[in-house]
Amino acid sequence: MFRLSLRNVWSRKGRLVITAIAVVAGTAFLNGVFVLTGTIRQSLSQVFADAYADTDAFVRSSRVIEGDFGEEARDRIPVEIVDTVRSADGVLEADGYVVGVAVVTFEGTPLGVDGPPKFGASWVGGEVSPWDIDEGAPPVAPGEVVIDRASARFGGVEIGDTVTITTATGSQEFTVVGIATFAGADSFGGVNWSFFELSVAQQLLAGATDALDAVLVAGDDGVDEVALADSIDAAIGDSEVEVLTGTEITEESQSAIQRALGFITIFLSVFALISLFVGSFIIFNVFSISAAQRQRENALLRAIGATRGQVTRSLFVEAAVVGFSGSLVGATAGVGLAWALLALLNAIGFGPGTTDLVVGVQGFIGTMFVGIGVTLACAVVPALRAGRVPPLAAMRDVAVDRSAASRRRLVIGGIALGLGVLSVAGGFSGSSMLLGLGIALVFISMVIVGPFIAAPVAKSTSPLLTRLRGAAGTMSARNAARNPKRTAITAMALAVGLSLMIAVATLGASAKASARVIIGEAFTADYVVSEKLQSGFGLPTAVADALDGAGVGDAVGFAGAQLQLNEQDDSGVRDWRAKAVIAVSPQNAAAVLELGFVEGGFGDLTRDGILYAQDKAQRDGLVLGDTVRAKLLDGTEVDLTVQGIYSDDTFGNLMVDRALFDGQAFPLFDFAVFARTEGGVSPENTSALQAVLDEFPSAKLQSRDEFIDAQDDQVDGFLNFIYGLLGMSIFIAVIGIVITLWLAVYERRRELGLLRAVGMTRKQVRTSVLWESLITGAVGVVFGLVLGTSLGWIIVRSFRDEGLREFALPASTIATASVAVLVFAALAAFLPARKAAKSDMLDAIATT
Amino acid sequence: MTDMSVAPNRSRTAAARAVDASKVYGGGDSEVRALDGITVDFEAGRFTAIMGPSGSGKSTLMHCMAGLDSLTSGEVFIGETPLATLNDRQLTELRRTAVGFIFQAYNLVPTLTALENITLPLLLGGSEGDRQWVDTVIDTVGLRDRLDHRPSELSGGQQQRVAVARALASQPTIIFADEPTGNLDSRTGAEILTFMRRAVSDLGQTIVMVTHDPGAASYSDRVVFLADGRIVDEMHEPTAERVLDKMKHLGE
Repeated sequence: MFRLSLRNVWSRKGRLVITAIAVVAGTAFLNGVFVLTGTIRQSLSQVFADAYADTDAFVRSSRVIEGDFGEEARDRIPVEIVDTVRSADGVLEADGYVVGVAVVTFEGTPLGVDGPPKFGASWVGGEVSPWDIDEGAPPVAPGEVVIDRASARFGGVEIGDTVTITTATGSQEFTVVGIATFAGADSFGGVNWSFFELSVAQQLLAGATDALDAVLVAGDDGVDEVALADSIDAAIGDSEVEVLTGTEITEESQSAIQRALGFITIFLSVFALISLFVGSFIIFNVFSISAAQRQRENALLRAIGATRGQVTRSLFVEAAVVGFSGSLVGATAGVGLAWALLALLNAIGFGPGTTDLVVGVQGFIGTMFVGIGVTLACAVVPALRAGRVPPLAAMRDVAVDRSAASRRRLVIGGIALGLGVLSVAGGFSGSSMLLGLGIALVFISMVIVGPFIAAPVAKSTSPLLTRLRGAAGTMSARNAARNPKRTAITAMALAVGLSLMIAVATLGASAKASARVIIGEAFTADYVVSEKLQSGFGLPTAVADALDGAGVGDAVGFAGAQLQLNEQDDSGVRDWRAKAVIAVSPQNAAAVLELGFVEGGFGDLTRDGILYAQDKAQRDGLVLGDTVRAKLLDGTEVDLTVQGIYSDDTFGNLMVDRALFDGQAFPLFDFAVFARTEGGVSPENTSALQAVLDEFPSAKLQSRDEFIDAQDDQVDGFLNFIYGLLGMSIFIAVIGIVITLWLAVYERRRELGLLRAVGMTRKQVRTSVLWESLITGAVGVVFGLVLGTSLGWIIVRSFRDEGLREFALPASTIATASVAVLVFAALAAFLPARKAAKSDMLDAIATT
Repeated sequence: MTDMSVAPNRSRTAAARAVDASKVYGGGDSEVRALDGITVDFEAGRFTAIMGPSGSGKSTLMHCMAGLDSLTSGEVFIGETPLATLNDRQLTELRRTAVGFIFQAYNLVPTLTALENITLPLLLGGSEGDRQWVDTVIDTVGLRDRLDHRPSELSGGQQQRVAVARALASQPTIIFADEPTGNLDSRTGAEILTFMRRAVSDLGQTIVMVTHDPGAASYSDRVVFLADGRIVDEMHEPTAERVLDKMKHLGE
C-alpha cells in the first residue's frame, strides 16, 4: 500500500508540483526571515566582537536607568579615574572614552540615512581601538574631526573639507583631518561616526571636560581578563563604578542586539505564518479535490480489499511527500530570498554590508517541520473522507460533493460566530486574550459558513453575467456556485490577506485621523522644528533656546527623558521604576500645547514639580499637591510635587521642567521644538525662523500643516511596509486560484469538450473561466471587506483609550486593494483558461 | 422515397458529404488508416445509420464529418461548406448552427437545467432561436414538465431526450448521433429512436447515426456499412434481421 501511494504521487508529478507550490511559498518566506535575521544578527555580533576585540577591561558607571524597550541612560564617571586605572596591576594602556549623538552635515546635507544613529566619540588611538586612520591623521586639536569611510563616501567628503557637527551642545564647524575604517570595514554597523580629540569630544558631547563615559583598558601581554578587571576594581574601590571584562562588554552589546533582532524576527515570522496559513487553505483544497477526483480509484481499492485505514494512510503518505519536498524546496528558496533581501537592504544603505548568509540549521529544520506539519494537518480531513468512500462508489459515475450545505455546518458556524462576537465584546473591557480569541473565532466561523455565503454570492452574479457574456457568463456563475466549499476556501484564502490589509489600512487611517484631531486640538503652535534625518534622538536643546531668543515668537522644546519614580505596583509593593517623561520649558509651553488641564497647568510647573495625565494620576491615587519621590541618573533623590493634571496624554503621561536635568549626564534632545509666532504662519516668520536654523543644519522647519501631513507620511511609510509583507499571502492566494481553477478545468474536461462540440468557441470557454475566477475573487473581496472592516473596527475600538479616538475607513485604499485583488484573479485565470480552451472534444465524447 | 445508390447523386441535396476522405494515424509500420478514401453523401431529410465492426472507422467518419476532427486528405462538406477551409472559430460556429449532436453519454452540462441544455447552442450563439420550433421540439420529446430539472435529477432516458431536443433546437443542417441508445435499456432506447425517427419524418430533419445495434439501425431509411475504413455496402429500408445478417457477413 505504501508503495502504491508513492507510485501515486509519482504518477501525478504535475499535481505534486502545484500542491507543493503553496507549501513552498510559505516556507520560503519563513526560512527567509530566519536566514535574514540570523545573518544580520551574526554580522552585528561580529561587529561588536571586533569593536571590543582588543579591549580587556571596560570601566563605567554602575548608575543606570533602563527603559521599557531596552534603552538605557548611564551616568558618567570622573575623568580622574583614568589615572587610577593606569596605576592598577596588569594595565598596559587605558584611554578615556566619551560617546554621544553627533550629526555630521556637509554642504547642508546630513551624512547618512533615516534610521541608523549618528554617533560622535573621542578618538582612541593605540591598541584598544578597532578604528584605524585610513587616510589623513587622527584628531589632535580643537576644530579637527575624523569621520568613517562610509560617511565620507556618502557625502563626498574629502580631507580638508569643512563640516558642521551638531551635538547635544549645539552646532559647530570642524575640518576633516582624517578618514577612519573599522576593523578594516568602511563603517561600524551602518552608524555614521565622527571622532574628536578627547577634551574636544568631552566639551562637545558632554558639555564639560571633567567626565567620561568609559575607560577602555588593554592589559599587559598574557594577563588574565578577570584578574585584570579585579585589580582595576580594587584600585578604584568605588561601588558606583563597575569594571567589565572585554568578554562581558562584548556579550552585553551582542545580547542587546539579539534582543532587538528577536523582536524583528518575531514580527516578520508572524507575516510568514500568515502566508503559511493562507497556503494551508490551498493545500487543503488541493487534497480535497484530489481525493474527490480519485473517489472511483479509492472505491476500487476498497472493493478489492483495501481497508479504510489503508486508503486514508495512502493520502497521508502523499501529503508527507508533498510536505517534505515542498518544505525542502521552500526552505532552500528562503535562503535565496534572504540573499535577495539582503542585497536590497545593502543597496539602500540599511544592510549589514555583507551577503555571507548565515543559514541556521535550527531555522531550516524548524521551517521544514512547520511546512510538513501544516501539510499533514491540511490532509487530515480529505484523507479521512477518502477512507470513508464506500466500495460501491467504484460503480458510480463522477461523484458530486454535496456536503456543502449541511445544517450542522451552519449551526457550528453560527455558534463560532456568536462566540467570536461575544469574546470581542468581552475583550473591549480590557482582556486582550479574549479579544484575540474572538478575532480568531470570527475568522474560523467565516471559514465554516463560507460555503453558505459563496454559493448565493456566486449565483447572484448569474443574471448580470448572462446579460454581459451570454451563455459563457451563465456557465461561469453556475461553475463558481457548483462547489461552494471549494469556491469558499479559495475565496477565503484571498480574504485573509485582503482583510488584514484592510484592517491595517483602517488602523492607519484611524491613526491618521485621530492624530489630526488630537494634534489639531492640542497643538496650538504655528511651526514645528524637528530632525531632518530620523535617527531617534532629536535636536540639541540649543535649537529651542536659539529660536526662543530670536524674538520671532515663543519656542518650546520637548525632550524625552528618563528618571525613576518610587511607585507602588498593583500588589502594593513600593519600588523604583524607570519612567519616560517629557521635559519642557514651562514658561512657554502653554502657548504651544493645549493639554486640557483639569487642574493646574504649565504656568504652575517648577523645577521640583511634575505634571500627571489624568488616567495615570487616578491609577496611582495622586491628586494635586501630592508628592512623588524621584531619583535622577546621578542618584540624587528629589520630591516632586504634582502641580497639574491634564486630560490629553497623546504626548506622554508625565511632564517635568527640563531644569530638573541640569547637571545630569543625561543629554536632553528635543524630539521637536514647537514655535508660536506673531501673525501665525507667514513668509516673514518662516524666513526669520529659518535664518536661526541655518546655524543648525540637522534641523528641519515645518509649518503646522506640513507637520501634520508629515505625520501621515510616516504612518503611510509603515503601512506600505506592512502591505508589502501581506502581499506575499495575497500572492499565495492568487496561486491558489490558479491551482483550484486548473484542477476544476481538469475535472470538467469532458464537459468542456462537450461544450466545444456543441458550439462554444474557444474565446467563450476562456471567458467563462475568466469570469469564474473573477467571481471567486469577488467572493473573496466580499469576505475580505466584511472581515477587514470589522477587524479594523475591533482593533481601533480596543485602542480607543490609547489615543485612537477616530474610526476612519480608508475608502480609496480599500477600493484599490479590492480592485487589485480582482485584477489578480483575472490574471490567475490565464493559464487555466488556456488549458480549458484546448479541451479535447473527442476525449470528451469518448464513452470510456 | 427514391432509390439511392452508393455513388454520390448530385441531383439530390446532400446535407453533408465526404469526398475521398482519409484519416491516417501514425506513420511507417505503425500506420493505421482509420478512413481509407471514403466518398459518401448524406441526403437531407433522411435518417442514415452507419454500421460496422469495431475499428471500422464509423466513429472517425462521424467525427470528421461533424468537424470534431480533421482529415488527413480528402474533403468533407456540411451543406456546401468545405470544412477544411474553416478556422477554429468558423468551425465552432458551424457546429453550433448547422450541426446537432447526440452522444452516447456526457451529453448534458450538469450545471444547466434541461431547458438551458436544450437551448445551449442558441444561447452560445446569443440568439433566441425560433421559440415556436423549440416548443414543438420540447413537446415532441415530451419534456414539458421537466424543463427546470438539472441533469442529475433526470433519468437516463430523459437525459437522452434532452440531448435529442438540443440537437434539434437550432434546426441544424444535419444531426450526428453516436450510439445514442448505447447506455439505455431497450425500452427507453426504442423510445429515443422513435423520437429521432419522428424528427426526420414529421419535422423534416436530417440524422446520421453511428450504431452497432441492428435494432437501432432498423429505424433508419438507409444503412451504410463500413469495414477497414471503407464503405463496403449499403441497405435501404432496413430491417433488424437483414442488418444482422449483413453484419454477420461483414464479420467473417
